[in-house]
Amino acid sequence: MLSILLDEPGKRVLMMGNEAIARGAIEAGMKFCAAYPGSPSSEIIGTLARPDVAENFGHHAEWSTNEVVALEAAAGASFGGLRALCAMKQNGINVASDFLMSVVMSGCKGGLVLVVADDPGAHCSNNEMDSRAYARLLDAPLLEPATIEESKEMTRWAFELSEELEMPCMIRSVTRISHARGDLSLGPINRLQRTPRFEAYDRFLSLGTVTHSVLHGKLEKARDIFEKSQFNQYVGPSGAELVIITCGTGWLFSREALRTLGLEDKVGILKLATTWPLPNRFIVDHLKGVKQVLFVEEIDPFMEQNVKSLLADYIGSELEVIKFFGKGSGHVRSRFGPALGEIDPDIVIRAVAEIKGVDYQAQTPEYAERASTLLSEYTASRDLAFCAGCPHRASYWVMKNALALDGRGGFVLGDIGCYGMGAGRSGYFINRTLHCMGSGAGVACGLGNLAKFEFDQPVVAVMGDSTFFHAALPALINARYNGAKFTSVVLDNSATAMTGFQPHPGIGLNAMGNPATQVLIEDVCKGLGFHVEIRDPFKVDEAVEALHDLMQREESSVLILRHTCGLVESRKKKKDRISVNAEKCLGDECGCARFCTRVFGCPALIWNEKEKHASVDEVVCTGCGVCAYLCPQSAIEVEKAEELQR
Amino acid sequence: MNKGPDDLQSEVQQANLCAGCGMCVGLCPYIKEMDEKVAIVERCGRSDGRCYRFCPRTSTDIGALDEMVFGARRGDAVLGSYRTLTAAKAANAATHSAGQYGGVVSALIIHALKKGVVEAALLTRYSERKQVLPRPTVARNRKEVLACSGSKYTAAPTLSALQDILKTGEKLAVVGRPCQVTAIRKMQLYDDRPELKNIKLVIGLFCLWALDYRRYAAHLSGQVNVSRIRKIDIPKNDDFIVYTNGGEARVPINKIKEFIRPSCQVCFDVTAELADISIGSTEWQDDWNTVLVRSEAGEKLFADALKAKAVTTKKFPGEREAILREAVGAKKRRVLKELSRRGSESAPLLYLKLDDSQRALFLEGGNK
Repeated sequence: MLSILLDEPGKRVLMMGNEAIARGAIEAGMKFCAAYPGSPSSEIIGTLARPDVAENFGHHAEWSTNEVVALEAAAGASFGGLRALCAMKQNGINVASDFLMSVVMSGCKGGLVLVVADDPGAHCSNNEMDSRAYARLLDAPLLEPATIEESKEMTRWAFELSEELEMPCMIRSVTRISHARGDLSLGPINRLQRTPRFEAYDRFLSLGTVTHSVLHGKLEKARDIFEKSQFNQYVGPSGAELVIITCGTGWLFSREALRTLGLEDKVGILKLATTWPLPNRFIVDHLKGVKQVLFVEEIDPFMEQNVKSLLADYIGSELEVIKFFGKGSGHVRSRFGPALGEIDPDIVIRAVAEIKGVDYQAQTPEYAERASTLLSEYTASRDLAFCAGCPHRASYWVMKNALALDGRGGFVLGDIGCYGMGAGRSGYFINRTLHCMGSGAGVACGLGNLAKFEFDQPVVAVMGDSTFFHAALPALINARYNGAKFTSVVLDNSATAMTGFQPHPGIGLNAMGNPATQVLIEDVCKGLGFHVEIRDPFKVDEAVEALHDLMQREESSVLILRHTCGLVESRKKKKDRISVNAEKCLGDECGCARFCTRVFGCPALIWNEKEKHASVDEVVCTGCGVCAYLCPQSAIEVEKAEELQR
Repeated sequence: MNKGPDDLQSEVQQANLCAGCGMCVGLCPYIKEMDEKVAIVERCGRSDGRCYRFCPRTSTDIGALDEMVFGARRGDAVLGSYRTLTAAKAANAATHSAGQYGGVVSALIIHALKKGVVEAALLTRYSERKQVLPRPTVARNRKEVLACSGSKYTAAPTLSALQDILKTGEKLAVVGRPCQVTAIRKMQLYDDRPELKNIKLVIGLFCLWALDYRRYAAHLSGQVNVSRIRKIDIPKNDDFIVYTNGGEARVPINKIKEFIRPSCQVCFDVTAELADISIGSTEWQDDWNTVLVRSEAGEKLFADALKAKAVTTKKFPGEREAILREAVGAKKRRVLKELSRRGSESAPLLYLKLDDSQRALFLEGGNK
């Protein structure tokens, strides 16, 4: 049985960080959760939306069209009196921020918890912003769990805190917590039976300075609570000269560093779990007599700067003169520099060793060399690329062809997610902008409206199917309204693929996999007055002609390139076997010049350097067959799955 | 030394010399054509390419091509090598009425298919989707051939479909404009793939120019509801007339000439001089064709068609021949002058490669 379903308080189980957050919400009696998927946050609602989980605990779970709608929906449930959870990745909080700025002032009724999962090192993001800055901007309480177990415990606590303060509470996770696994003790499940009701006296109003002043009062109350929180703690000797102040992942990294260097009895660690507002007294009390402080945290020196600012009022009175180390001093730095990339134990070891003058090399160059050689034997060297069988590869080839055939210097304005790869080799380098969801269409509203300045290049705006609903719609309506001229290309793979195949409004299924009203992209576009064409990107020539022809039109138009994500499709049916007829393969010769491996670039196609022909990696290949369609020599052959079974 | 696609792009495409024959498109996954415009989509990285070698607007050695096709250099500077010049028309009434003038092209192809001389013919017919746009098509019977009849007046990239048909192994006839005939002959000269032997018959069309599809189609769609083009003609009153199911459009010839592809202004071949048989209008009698039988294969087919009563002929009058020679000669002189003007030290006549004696012959022949 899935451990999140267990009602066995005290039982130790292994959980992923995002599952632990979900379990914390369940233990708190959460009844409504909403999110827009985004790594590394997706598994929080992904877990809560599992039919068995949602049914067992009786909560509502949904994938909303975007983050601000998700947060508003969760707030609505809270206004009705239920405990509600909203989760998003760091980009999402930018989308949600307008409502967020008001809901902290209006306050809420049922516990309302916002989990934001940051992505230090940008493993699965196009930015590595530190969402904690929002907590300070919002005057909102911010919790930072340091372990998997704390993720659960602090989520549960966050609901109580939110109800006590009557305002939303923010939890910040990071990739190495959300996606790591650790053990924890299950707690009792709060079987809250609240009947939601919007009472006659309920008002949730954001009213300028009046509510702002109420908010400041709540923040001071939060500070008082944080002063006594058991999640903030000090470990180490009393009278330590050097104290590490840390939060989140830095907690375990710092402990490992001190153990490695044998300094556990000399250096103290002050772990902060409540990083906004700071527990002022708690911090000052633990720094009496301390001469050096090292700050360890992910991405920005958020805690570092806030604590420094706090201590300025105490140094010279209650505290001695303190020398500060961290991102500001450059001691805490990844290979990219301070406040860039992820931190890890080696970074903390180096910082402590430098401060204490200890000669310790975390990793010798010889070791790194050996590790890299060993790894290269087990992992194939691959580009950052669209997956094998990905319809977007064909769609980008379609766009590249149509732009070249149009010949007027047209270009593509990109979108994030899978389409981000359109800026690299996998998308033939044709994406010329990359910002945020829906921005391709938004930017096109500008570039597509410059005709009176004699701008004559065709503009193509790319968006995903999920992006279409998330953020492209206002831009498309704007294009109609303000007369911007561009061609929208919706890359419809019928999934929110990069974040884990969550459904969206165009699919006809809800988060729990039940039938839902299907909102068809073509219907929406036609309703807006666009000329719409739909093509299969694997029928390359037809799609090229359609896009080319749309680019010749006087008005804005929409091309939907629709083909189900290769990974989704390959899970549903047996795959065709694709192979290369080596006799027919032209390879480097004129008429091919390794089209499939050099240019088209599907990861399942391999150039056999020794025998000078292409071949297919059957393990990676999804059997989509588009390479067979494109091979100029018809050297790639398809055996249908049905025939293979006979 | 041969060159590659980068040179094709700079010397032909960017220099507005592309004739839209379609040869390079069919050879390469990186060269594409849309609405009669050819573009190199991606670099292949080769410095040596068939795209450049077979292109009718890269170095074209007329002497070598004449020797390959006819076994000798030409004696006739204006009309090229030929065995007979006659007026002809299709004997079958339906074929004749479907054709542009005399219906001889259709009649000869139908005859060649019937007799098994060829099994397939590469022709052009209007696209289902774009009414003014001719697309390459393969005909294997009389009905399919007749669906392709009639002059199209734009630069259909017929040869883009050639390589795929060659792979079928069928004996093949190709009908093309002079530039396309040249491209086929260059391929036969420089390439030794066995499937090229499948090309049994090359019928050339007389051609003075082709229109830029995009501009022409845009103009036409503003004139008439182009549902289906039945016929296009330039009768003697000097209007360009498009007869369609949705009415007819008349465009003054001077207006239509604005849409001529720039490449056609430097084409020195009006009568498809390297074809097996060349066929055009007579500018004299609307229901007859001018036929130049050039090669041995052409002569054999034409004689056979005549014997089988697929075509009928009559004598081409001397005074009409003089008019034909004057028209062709005038264009050749104009083009040679333009090519000299644009040529460089290494390529004095741009794409045309002629030794001094041949060049003199052309100029002299044109002056007669």
